[in-house]
Amino acid sequence: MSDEVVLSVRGVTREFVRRRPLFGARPEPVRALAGVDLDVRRGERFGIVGESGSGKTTLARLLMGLDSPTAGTITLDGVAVHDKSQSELRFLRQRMQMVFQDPMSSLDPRMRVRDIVLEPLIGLRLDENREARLAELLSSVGLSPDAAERFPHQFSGGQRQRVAIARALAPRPQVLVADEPVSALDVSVRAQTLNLLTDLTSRLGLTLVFVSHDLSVVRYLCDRVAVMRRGAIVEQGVTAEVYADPQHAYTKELLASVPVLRHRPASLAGGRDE
Amino acid sequence: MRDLSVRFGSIPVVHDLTFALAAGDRVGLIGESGSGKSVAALAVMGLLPDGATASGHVEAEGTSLLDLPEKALAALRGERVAMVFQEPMTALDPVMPVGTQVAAAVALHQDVSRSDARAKARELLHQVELPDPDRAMATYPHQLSGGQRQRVVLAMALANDPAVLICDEPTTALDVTIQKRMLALIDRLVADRGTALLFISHDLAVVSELCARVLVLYGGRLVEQGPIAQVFGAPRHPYTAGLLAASALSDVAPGSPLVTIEGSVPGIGAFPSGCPFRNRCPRALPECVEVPPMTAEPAGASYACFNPVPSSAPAAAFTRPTRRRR
Amino acid sequence: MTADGMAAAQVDPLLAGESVSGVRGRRSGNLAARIGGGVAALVVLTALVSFVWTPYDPTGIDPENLLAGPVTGGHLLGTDNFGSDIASQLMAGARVTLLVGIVAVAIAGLIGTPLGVLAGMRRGWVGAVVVRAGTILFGFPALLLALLLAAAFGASTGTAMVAIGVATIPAFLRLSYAATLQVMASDYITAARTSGLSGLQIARRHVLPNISSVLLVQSSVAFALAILAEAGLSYLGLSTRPPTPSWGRMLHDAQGFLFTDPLLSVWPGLAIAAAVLAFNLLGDGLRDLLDPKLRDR
Repeated sequence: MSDEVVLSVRGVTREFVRRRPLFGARPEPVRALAGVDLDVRRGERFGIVGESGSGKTTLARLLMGLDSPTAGTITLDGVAVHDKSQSELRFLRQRMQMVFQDPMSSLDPRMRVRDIVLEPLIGLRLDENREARLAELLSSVGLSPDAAERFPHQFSGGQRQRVAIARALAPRPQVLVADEPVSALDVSVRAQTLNLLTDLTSRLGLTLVFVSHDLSVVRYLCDRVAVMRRGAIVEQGVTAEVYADPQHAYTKELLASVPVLRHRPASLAGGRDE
Repeated sequence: MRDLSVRFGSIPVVHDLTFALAAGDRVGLIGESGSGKSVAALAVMGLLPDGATASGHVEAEGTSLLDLPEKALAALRGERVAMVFQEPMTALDPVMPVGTQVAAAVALHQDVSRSDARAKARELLHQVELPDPDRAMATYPHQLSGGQRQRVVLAMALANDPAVLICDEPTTALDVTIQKRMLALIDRLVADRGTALLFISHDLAVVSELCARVLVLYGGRLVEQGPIAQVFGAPRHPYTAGLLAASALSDVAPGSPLVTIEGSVPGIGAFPSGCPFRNRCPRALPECVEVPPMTAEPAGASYACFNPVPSSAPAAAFTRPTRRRR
Repeated sequence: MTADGMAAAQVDPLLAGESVSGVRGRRSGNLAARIGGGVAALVVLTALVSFVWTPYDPTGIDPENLLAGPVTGGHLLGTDNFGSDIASQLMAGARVTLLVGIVAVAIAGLIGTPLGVLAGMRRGWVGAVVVRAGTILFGFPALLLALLLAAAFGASTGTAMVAIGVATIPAFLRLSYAATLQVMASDYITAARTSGLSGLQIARRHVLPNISSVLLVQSSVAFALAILAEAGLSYLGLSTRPPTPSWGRMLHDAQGFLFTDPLLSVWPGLAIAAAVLAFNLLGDGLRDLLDPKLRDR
């Protein structure tokens, strides 16, 4: 993990204008994000935590260039990701990919896994041996090669997320933006997926931006974290520090609200901290 | 409930479920998808969808529920047994003010005048900690936040002081800060009224904070049950142990591999015969092709396993991170 | 390890109940599709056969057997006032019926669908304009269009087809618009965007396959409506001109003999009703058949 900043967000504001029907006063804009600043360093796992309405999903979409900020800048390796033409975007898309929350909605039910996973190569016009790459991707996410011919509905949620991750990795990106990737999964499957993400990001040297509402997952997975509330970052820093000694009142409230697993067994694998 | 079994057509979803709930009990029903937890609750309420058949024995305060005709069941619902679901919007009528809906819940089972019902409704809205209950009476569901809507649903459920309150993932769709308040509310209301609580969830932490006893379901079967301190502190069934290990993220050093359960939860009807967990269990034995009987433990706990996790050793069953094999 | 091969692995037990009734719906849908499909196939078969063989020449005259009843003088269903064999006319009339159906639906589908998809994919004024235009056109009855075209070009099967086709465009437009909107809300579309696909590629690879089942059902129903519309137009004299046999015109010609030879109107009427019902049932059946599969995650 270096100190080099790969993703930079400065003064980003995003307002949505709600159209008032017919008559009525001027529409008031909804402020999804207000003046957000953050830096993500190369190779680190950066968490963005917030509840509903915090703006974290809007931020994720802005990072990916799927949406443009009303004000402010977002840069990837110094290059702005917004207000770009299609061909310029293609350059960025190769370097930054996304994993979505809902494994059912993020895979086209009419397409086979092979077509789903290789789609970025087609869209980004990347020239390489597709069959070999497909095999490589499937094995790196722990799916058997015969998964390639199957359809999404033949897989479980956890397996579908693996397919989604494989797709995201296809163009060899440097940054992975994950929007609640484990929230829709069963607890037992969640752990597998988190292990996979940890493994892949360290093996491939990826930078991970992990958006979630689940504090314990973020604490486990991320090196640094930003806590969001109503469109603004209220606190950010090294995860262990923020969790151990939260400064902002909201962060404290958030941490205090997490249900604690009582009466758990005396010792669990993986070691303990504290 | 005794030997409750539910089938959807030819697919078995719940097998021989047996448990009892006494007044004031707080029991958590834990399971992931496909465990049959929601179905079991629906069976109690007589709300199973068409095409599902239930067999066995379900009794509420001496009245057998499974064979009851719909009319009698409807009389019981809301009055003796009430249920709160995960998604409040589906439980609330979008075109009726919430005050009217709560009053309707009251009027349905109690012989009171209209104004009395409304007064009671206002009182209930106050009890569920809705700010400004008088104003709240006139609001419509879409004007309320998710947390507030769940409070209204809770008010409706408790309107007639039911003997049993069943909550099916009531806070899963809520933000964690709202969830905390909601759980505290349920805790208080149930304690005040002495209502028996059956709390269904996949979240072990939530259940551990609210309930005194817990039932663990997997593949439609009860695999372990007992006082929470015992079941969570010293799980005997490998699935329980695995679930605990996978849930206790706060105990794991950041970055080190998480302990997982191999494979994934099979789809409905795809569970193996015998012990439903045997195709994922690191402690599976050849005899697991037969359904393990419940073995009793001290303090009223029991588990169904031929090769349980040793009570003395730590969760040794799952000390190694998963090997990716697919 | 044995997790795949089974659909809906992560399905909440509540949803499983849904898919069970979906299975039952599938079975009844199967029946509708089979009946509808069977009769529709019969119509198609009749039309095809009529190219090679009919009991008699549909336009031919049998002066000795004018207005004969059924099974008289060798005519299975009798003859009309010109002595032409009813059965042969019915068979040949099926050709027009199907032709109009096919062309009208083709016009409506090939124009309405791309417009609807375009509107659904491009938010902003393009979408709004297209939808508004479609709504305006919706108000235009096929009858009026047919009249206009007939006045301009003279009534024929062609003008009827075009009129019905154009009048059906809005239905396809709205349907594909709504279906496209639904598809666009899915994450896999967002994923396709982040994969660098252009709008056209997304439309081709993702939108069209996913709205195809809705379109298929709609086509079936539109086909039925087109048949009905053509019959009406023929009856009014705004469609197929004599001597080409057409069910609608047979009805018109039978009018004059309603009280003396009622059967003359019954045969074409039955044929129309059967065809319309068949394609409607086919559409319903297809809808039931295809829906659960889509829901069956």
